Amino acid sequence: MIALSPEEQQIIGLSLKVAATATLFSLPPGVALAWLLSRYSFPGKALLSGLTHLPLILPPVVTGYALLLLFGRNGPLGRLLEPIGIVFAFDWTGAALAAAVMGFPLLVRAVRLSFDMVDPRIERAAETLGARPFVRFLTITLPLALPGVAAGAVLAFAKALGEFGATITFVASIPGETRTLPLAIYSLTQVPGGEAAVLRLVLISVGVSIGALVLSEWGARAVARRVGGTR
Amino acid sequence: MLEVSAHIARDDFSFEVAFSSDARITCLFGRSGAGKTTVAELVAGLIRPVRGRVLLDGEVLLDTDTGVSVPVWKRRIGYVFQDARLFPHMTVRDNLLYGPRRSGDLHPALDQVVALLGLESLLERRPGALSGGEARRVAIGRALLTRPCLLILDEPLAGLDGARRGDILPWLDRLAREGPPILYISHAVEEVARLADRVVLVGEGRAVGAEPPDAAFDRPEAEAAAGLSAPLSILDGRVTAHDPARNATRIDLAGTAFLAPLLDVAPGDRLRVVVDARDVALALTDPVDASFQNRLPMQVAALDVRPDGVLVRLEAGELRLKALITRQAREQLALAPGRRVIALVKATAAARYA
Repeated sequence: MIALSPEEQQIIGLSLKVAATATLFSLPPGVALAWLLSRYSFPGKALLSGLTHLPLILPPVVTGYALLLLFGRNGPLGRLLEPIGIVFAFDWTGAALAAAVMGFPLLVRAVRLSFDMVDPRIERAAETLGARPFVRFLTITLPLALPGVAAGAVLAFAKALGEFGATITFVASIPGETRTLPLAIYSLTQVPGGEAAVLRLVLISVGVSIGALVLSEWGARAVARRVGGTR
Repeated sequence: MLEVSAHIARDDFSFEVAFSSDARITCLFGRSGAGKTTVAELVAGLIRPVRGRVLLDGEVLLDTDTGVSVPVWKRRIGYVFQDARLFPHMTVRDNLLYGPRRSGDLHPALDQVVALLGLESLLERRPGALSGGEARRVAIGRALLTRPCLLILDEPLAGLDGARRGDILPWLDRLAREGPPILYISHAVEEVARLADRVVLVGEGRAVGAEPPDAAFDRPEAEAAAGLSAPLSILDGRVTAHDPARNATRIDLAGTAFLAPLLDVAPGDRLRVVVDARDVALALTDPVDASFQNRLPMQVAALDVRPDGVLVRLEAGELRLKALITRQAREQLALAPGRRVIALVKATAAARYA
């Protein structure tokens, strides 16, 4: 393989940073929400579930535009967060936010499914052994579902790596700041004679995505084995 | 001391519970689906009744009138579920130590419990690699290690074949002697007869009153619940001597000498003998030339006329025995309360349950 140019390195580095940040910050709320949806029934549950999945079906441009309205310099949340030093507009953190929102449904879905696989009767048993609900979650439910949580995180990470529409709408395509892998590919297709560079980036992108998928599949199988108690 | 009174309402049935027991082993006895597990779940706090009170050793665990409800994880009740429910992602050792780790118990009685239940060779295994009997033993050990004030065993022998039962029964006997008080759920008359100090009959939407097994099995509803075709006498005794050459074991039943087939119980040990009322014959004079090995002089205490005959209640000192005879036999012998008779029991009719 031919060595990566400094520009490619920077694009990949930024993409990984954006995707990792997006995944890391969406994990805690994603796991909490998945737990809620898996174990409790409450009024408005269907609505909450629907809202969670909304970014999956909305045109990404619409999601990006909603983010722009909310978190832009003049958006209500943007203005609220600016004094405490959190700025999303035209910043790499904005790209991470867009990626997190787009990957969130995939994360919640995978984690929820793995929570569903954990037998609530085993959790009851933990309770009779003196585990309060939060401890029970940490010692029984989460460990049993952990490979599924990992699978969800990998999926969200892969989605974040490939996120395009919401990102370009929300934070544009600023080299070195918000121009992630897909945005860079798109920019290069707009330049005459960029085919070779496009092909290189496409191959890199395909490789990273397949790797993520394989990892998530492995995670899903591992959770089944763990719950079965054979390893 | 366990005291329970509650009204439980579920989608498909409602249920009255009222009993108290300070016995070492209290059995919840009834048919499958009668609601035995529901009563146990009420005690453990896994379900909430419409109204009710649960007290364990004087501590209020639940009182719907005052709004007291101690959460499951604070109740110190070990619950051994029928399906074991071991944690599949932990070794047997980590399963056993789960409770002590939650309560910060730095010196769990792991060695004693492992020895008590024979778990030495299982410690590093995963639950998926255990047989049904082994898994239940681990589940019992796991519950014991929380140092419970009460241990609930939900049908610990159900679904196990003969050999697997043998995996558990001896350990249950030891547990009964050395462990905490037990609330034992069963639909099998032989288990209840073998183990119970007190029996709570569960059925017809009721679980009311804890009685000694002999009294509990005396009730018509017990016969229905157990699928018995005749009443049983449940007799507590002690082995006095063995006579292997004659294939016989001598037992002392409340002061009366009794002969049973040779048993594998050490002389001096307590045991329980169960006699079907149909296997007891009566005579007015001692038939010395008959094969009955037990010819017990007794007195008729009461007579119950039933559809299937006459149940004769006999007593001799502390010993109580039931005989089911036909109405014709009763007339021939002119039986009436106070009449002296000889109760005839074949040694081989004495089923041994402990």
